[in-house]
Amino acid sequence: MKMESHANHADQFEMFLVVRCDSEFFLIELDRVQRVIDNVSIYPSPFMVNGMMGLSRFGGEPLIVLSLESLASQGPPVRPARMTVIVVRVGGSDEQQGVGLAVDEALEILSLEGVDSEDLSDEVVSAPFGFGGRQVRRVNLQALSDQRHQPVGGNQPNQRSDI
Amino acid sequence: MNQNRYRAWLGSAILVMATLPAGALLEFAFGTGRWGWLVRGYMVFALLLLVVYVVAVFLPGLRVRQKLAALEKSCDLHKTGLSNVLNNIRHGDLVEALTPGADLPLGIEESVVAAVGALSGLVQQIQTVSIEIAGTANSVRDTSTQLASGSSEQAASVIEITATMEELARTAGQIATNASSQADLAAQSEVAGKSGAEAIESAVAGIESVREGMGVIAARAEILDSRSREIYQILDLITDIAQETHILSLNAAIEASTAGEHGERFSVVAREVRRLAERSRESVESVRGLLHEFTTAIHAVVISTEEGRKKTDVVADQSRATAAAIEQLSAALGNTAQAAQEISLATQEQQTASQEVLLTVREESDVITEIAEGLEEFTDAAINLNQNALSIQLLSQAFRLESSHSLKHLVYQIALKVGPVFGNFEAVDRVLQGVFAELQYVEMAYLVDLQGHLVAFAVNQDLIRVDAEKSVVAVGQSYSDRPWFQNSSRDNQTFVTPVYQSLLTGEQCFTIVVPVKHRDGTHKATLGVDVNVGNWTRI
Repeated sequence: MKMESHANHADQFEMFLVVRCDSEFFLIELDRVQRVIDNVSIYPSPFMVNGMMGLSRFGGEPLIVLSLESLASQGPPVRPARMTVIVVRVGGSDEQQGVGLAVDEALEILSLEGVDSEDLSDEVVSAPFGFGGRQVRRVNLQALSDQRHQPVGGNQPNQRSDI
Repeated sequence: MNQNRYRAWLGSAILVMATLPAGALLEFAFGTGRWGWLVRGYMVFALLLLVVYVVAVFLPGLRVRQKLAALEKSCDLHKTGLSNVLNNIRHGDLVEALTPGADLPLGIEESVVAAVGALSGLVQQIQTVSIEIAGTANSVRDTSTQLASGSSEQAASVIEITATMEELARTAGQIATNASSQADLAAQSEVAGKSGAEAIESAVAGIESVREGMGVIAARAEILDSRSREIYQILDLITDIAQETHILSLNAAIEASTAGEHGERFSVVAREVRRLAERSRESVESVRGLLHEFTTAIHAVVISTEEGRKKTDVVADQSRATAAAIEQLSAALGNTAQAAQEISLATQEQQTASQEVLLTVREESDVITEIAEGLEEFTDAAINLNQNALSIQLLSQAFRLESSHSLKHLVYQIALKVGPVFGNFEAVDRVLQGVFAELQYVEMAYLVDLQGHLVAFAVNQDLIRVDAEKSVVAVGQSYSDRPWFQNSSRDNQTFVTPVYQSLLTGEQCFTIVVPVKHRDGTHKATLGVDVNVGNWTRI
């Protein structure tokens, strides 16, 4: 893969938002990013599932906020010191829904050459790969959307629950 | 006597022999004549003359001769008795001399007893006095020896005192010099102390000024610290603004990307804004770093200033204490200077006094030396006196008296005990061993037979070593060549030898020899007792 900082070549390049959670860097498809918001108030919910930090408000609608670091590590959600929420759209074109991904910091927007969405597995976060002298992982929002439609199987760490 | 008796009868015989032939011749010539009456008358006259001679001359002469013989016999007895007495006196046996027996006439016996008694008393007095003189001489000798020793020690002490006084005088001189120097130094130190006190007061003033300056620095540092906190707040605000700007630029870029080609320009602006926000954030971080260094430095200044102020407080306190101490020291130095001056004067006087004492001590040393020499002479005189007293005592011991001081008498008493048990050597040994219980000054008591052979002996273990006894004395040893044995055997009398050196002890001793007699008075053996002079005179 080759990355460029230009958004001109939409056919060859796909644009990503680079975010950081702790010491890890993640790539989020810019097409699915709806908004980056800062200083968000997150409220705990009685139906918390794995990776979920709580509920917030965006555009007058309730917003489910997930911890990207928790999704990547499949551990309990971690509340960063200064939290930035990336509002992304998940689901198909007919039924899209906004979901917040809590990260430590939204860094920049970059273009990535030769990205094939079919190469992605059904994991929410890919394995790390080298990019720009640092290891990054790509967030598979489609997989997150697919898992959202799977039946609820409990609160086990490796199971995805319906949001 | 018989010759005189014959001579008495010879007169009568001549008379008869001369008368009878004369009568016969006259009878022959004139027997029958007228001269016959003459012959007859002559014969009658001759007979009468013979009778008269016998009655008047012969018989009285015979009685006189008988009286002379009795008188001569009596004289012989008296002479023998007197000779015995004198012989006893000659041998010093005044006890025997006091019992002359019945051979002497009563008047002479009384006179002899009185004379021997007077002599005995005189000898006893001599013995007593000589013992007292010897004891006194011993005491004088001991005392004078102690005094001489003490004088020697005193002389030595005086020498040491002299040396000490010389040292004292010398030291006093040095002290006077040192005290004078010390007085000068103290005076100089007093001046220096005053200068030092003034300098310290100036230093205290300087320290106070520094302390005030540090207070100003601390106050200003506090102000700077407050300002830096305000700058931190501003930087936080700038950081928040930059973050907000960054978020805005990202959202703008997102919006631009959704706008497609229409949003490209907006995307460029958003990117530039994001870069500005990034630069702002980087600048803020840089300023924050610089400000952190600045505040750290200010804190260090505040801490240093506080420490410096504390140290200046300490230094100021110490300086004040030092100033006070210097003032006290200066005052003390003034007193010291005065005291040192007084010490100098006093030690000079002490030096003078020490020299005077030294002269006196030297004179005293000479006197003590003379005393010591005189005491040595006195000791020699006491020793001579002791020796003379001992000689007198030995001379007086030539007499046997009924006195506890008479060694001859004491040994004689022992001989009286030995006489009855002579031949029973165990009993003799017991008697000889018992000698030392009463006479502790006796080295050895021994018995020698008539041939001069040693038959028994006992030694005083308190005075003599056993090995010395074994090496010197042995039963069977012959003493026949010793003068005391020969004298005793010859005269059958007690005998005292001159003083000689004992082979057993190596000390001076003399021997008292007494004949041991049988009940019938026959001489059986000789008892010898060796007297240790030193122990005897000590007792």
